[in-house]
Amino acid sequence: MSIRNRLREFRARYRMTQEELARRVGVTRQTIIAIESGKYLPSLKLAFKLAKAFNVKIEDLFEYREFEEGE
Amino acid sequence: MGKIRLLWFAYYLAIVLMGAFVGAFAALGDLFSALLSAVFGAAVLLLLNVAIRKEAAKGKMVLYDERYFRIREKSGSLAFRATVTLLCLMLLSPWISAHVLRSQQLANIFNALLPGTGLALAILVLAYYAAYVYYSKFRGVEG
Repeated sequence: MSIRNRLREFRARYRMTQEELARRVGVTRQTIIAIESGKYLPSLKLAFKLAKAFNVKIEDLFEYREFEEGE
Repeated sequence: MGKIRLLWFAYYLAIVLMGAFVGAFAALGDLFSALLSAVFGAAVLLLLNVAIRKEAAKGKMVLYDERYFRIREKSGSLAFRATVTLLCLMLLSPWISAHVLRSQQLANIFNALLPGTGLALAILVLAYYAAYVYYSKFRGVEG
């Protein structure tokens, strides 16, 4: 099971820096870096805030995979 | 941003200096000076913390977020378990060395370490920071 996110992709599309996004959702830049690199799985509240920052649905930003490739 | 980094640096430097002074005075047996250093150090840390918070509020900067609290919680728990395990091992070691290995010298060394509640605190702090680095750099965390 894994949860993948498209945060980096959306950030690039909106030409937003990690610092800007962090300020917008009220977290540190380190947290945005950790989410993008898959080291931190955000809470539901933060996931909704991130989705709202890009005006997308939460499932557009986060993808749940039951099995990893090769599992 | 530059000022806040400087303040953070001063904060961590103050922790190190406070630990060094308290440890040095305690090792020399001067408990009053050790206590004085601890009180003075705590006051400096408190003031620096207030300055950091003020500076962060000025720039509307987030200092602590959910990831920080989650990692802190996990690190604290891991450090506590590690400390308790080490203390249990320290408590068991003299008995093992005296009764199983039959080495009085080893038993004496461990017995000398036993009253060190300060040592337990040092282990706890070190374990906490090691766990914090482990969780923030190498391990995935869930919010």
